[in-house]
Amino acid sequence: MTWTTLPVWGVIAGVLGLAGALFLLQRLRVRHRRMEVITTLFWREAIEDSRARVLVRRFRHPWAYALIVTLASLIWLAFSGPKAAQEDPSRWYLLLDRSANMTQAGKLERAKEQIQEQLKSLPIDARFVYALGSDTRLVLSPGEQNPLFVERTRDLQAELAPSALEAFLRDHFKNASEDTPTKILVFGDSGISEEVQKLKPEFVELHQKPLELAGASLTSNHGIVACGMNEAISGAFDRVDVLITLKGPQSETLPLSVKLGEADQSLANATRTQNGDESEILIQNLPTTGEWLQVSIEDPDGLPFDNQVNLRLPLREKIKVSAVGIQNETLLKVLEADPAIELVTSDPQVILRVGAPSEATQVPTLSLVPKDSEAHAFTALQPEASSTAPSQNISNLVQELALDRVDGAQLAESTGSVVSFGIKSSSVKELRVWQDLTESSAFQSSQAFPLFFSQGIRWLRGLPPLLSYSKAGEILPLESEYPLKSDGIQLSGIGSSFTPPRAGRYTNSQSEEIEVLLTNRKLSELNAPQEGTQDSKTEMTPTHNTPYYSYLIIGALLLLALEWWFVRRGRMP
Amino acid sequence: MNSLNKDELFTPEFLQSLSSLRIIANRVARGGRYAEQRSVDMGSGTDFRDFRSYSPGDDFRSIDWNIYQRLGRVVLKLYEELEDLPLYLLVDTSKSLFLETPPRAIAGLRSALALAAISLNHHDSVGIYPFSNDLTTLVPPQSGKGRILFMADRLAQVQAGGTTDIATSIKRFESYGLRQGLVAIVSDFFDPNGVDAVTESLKNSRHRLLLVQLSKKTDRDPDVQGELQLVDCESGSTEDVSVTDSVKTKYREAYDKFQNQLIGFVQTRRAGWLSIDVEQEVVPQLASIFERGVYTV
Repeated sequence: MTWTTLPVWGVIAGVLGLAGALFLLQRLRVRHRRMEVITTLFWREAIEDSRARVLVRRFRHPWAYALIVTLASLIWLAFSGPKAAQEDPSRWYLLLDRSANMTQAGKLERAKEQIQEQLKSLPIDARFVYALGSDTRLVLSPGEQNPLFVERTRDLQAELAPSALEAFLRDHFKNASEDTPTKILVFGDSGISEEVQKLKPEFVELHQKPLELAGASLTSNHGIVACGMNEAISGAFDRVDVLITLKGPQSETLPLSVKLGEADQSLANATRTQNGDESEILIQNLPTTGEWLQVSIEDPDGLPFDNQVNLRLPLREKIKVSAVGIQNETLLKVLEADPAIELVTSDPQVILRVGAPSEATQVPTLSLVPKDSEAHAFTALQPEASSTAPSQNISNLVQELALDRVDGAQLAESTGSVVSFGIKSSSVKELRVWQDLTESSAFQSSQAFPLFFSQGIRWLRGLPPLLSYSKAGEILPLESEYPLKSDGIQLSGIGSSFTPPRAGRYTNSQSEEIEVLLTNRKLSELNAPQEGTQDSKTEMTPTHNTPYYSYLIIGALLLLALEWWFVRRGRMP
Repeated sequence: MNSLNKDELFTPEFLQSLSSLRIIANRVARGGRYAEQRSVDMGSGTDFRDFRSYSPGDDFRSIDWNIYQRLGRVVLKLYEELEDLPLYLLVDTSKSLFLETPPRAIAGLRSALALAAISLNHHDSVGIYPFSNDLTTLVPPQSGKGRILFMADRLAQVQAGGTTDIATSIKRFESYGLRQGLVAIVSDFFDPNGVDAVTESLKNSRHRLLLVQLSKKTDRDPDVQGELQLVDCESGSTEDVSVTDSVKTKYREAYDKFQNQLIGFVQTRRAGWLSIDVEQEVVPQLASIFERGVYTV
């Protein structure tokens, strides 16, 4: 016999305390007013008929005392929560799947009902109920009453989020202890891969409850399982290519509808490649106008969430560059050839000039400076970066400015000077390069020359990098402006990366919208539970769950009835 | 209070007011002294009662010669003979009668003296026997109107006794072997042994009985409330009572049961019954009871 709410000494102390308190109560006297009367004949008869439960003057009712002590002890023992020592020591984890698998009508509600039913047979002090969706939420702790589960999950809906089941199981398997056997019951359609099942320790039981929902099973599905964009293969600065992957039976003939903004986008020039049951569609040279691209399968099926995706195309405009005093023909040709650059004479966004800029200018400038005025052949001036280490900053800049393509030894030989790169702080971005170096044939003839100027002007302009894709449950592939917000979600990533937990539209601190897609092969493949993990209800019932406290309460009530009977019969004061 | 003042007890007005009261017994015992009560004896009174056939030894003076002349039969004329009715006053002097203020013993002794005065006025003999846990003889049976003051004097000397024990007292009284008469028991009848013991002891008495109950309103509706330790003034026994309306109801039921049992006995035994409210004057109550000046037992 063990006690769930009190230690053994607490139970014993409680019983002794009750016995002592009741003993004192028995010894207590009622303050009576003494009155002499001519006879007590009728009073004796009256109180024989309706004798009050007065506390007697002397301790003369040991049986009454024994009865009340027994009764009080039974109630105390019931409160102490006794349970048999051989009771199943397992902890029960009931997992409610809230992933996109459960968005189908009635599925989540059915899973909730099954959990409610299961809770009735589980020990209240050894079961946990988690809701796994975009977040992992403990909805019922040990000791909490079952109706709380209904209240807490009343408004809980399935989310457009990948299944968190495997992540939960991995974590649980990793931290499981042999001392506390665990039984995990999964209520939902998310599958558990063999890889995760192999991680399961022997002392952990894993069962998945079939939903048994009529008409809810899907035998096949097609959907968009991947969608992303990249720089246009054509090299056009103001164009991107979009790649869409369809999966499912007859994916090669699935009709697609593509809209750019409000206008339909023709797929006449799109290339379609078939790979098994996957079909890849590449739409090239979409204009970077900042509009929304909507791709829909025109033949919808039972799973609506993977039939449509939205993608925001980047907003890109040519960089207005003013070339002041530049006589270098090669350089001018490079500028003219760059699709991202538009040479202007007024309102430039970047200035390319010979000599150092005036101190008053706030326009980023690429300056061709005399060799004697700068210690380094290449010098980047920028506002101090707070989040990046200096060494890391130099390395990043070298790559970003394509300086890693420069053959330093060859240039040093041709110019007779050491070619180096330095960074300085400044309030306005600026790039300085030795004018002699730009005029040397060795540099001009290298592939680094056009790259340096093209990338340098882009760096000075500060063009946002291209966000190729964004998927729920996966780290965003590039930095974003924090925090990101969505309905009910505000993400403040640590460092430079974070994972949006569910699909939807997010807004960053610059009020830019990012569409996070759900595209997920596992979801679209209807990754149903494996045969081995499914189980029946009888196997999920604990072996022993004797409600001793109920018997104790019943015993106390019976004793109370017995006492009442004694009192009514005048056998007890 | 253990005794009472004679002057307060028996005033001349009180004694005078009793003169119109009269008790007539239905039957009195044979062989008693001549007095004013009807007797089963056919004697030399003036009131004609019946005829009967002559038997040897009968008094010739009683033969109705007119009937003999007309019918030729010898019959006797019977006249009612008046005899005295011995009155034995058994007065309760237990502590309970001396507890309250004023003590209900006043009403008890006045009632006893009133009954004695009535009897003495009609030439009856009166004996007074106070009792509590046993019976004693205060005044042996005697007659004569002049004895009333003597009896009043004796009654005033009565001391508060112990516990009421009617059964023992009656047993003692019966052992005296007195001539049959009227036994008047003046008491509250709150015998600790219960009303059953009272009725059982009186059931087989040779005498006619007159029960004079001394009562007051609070006997049935006690004016008490709360947590009380009630002490019986006679036995000293205590009862812890939480007096509630429910308990009071039970009390009244117990009292009514007692009263009904006592009255039931009176009816069964064909005894007399007087209930005296000790808070009221005794004489008006007796006058009301003897409304026509006659009370028959």
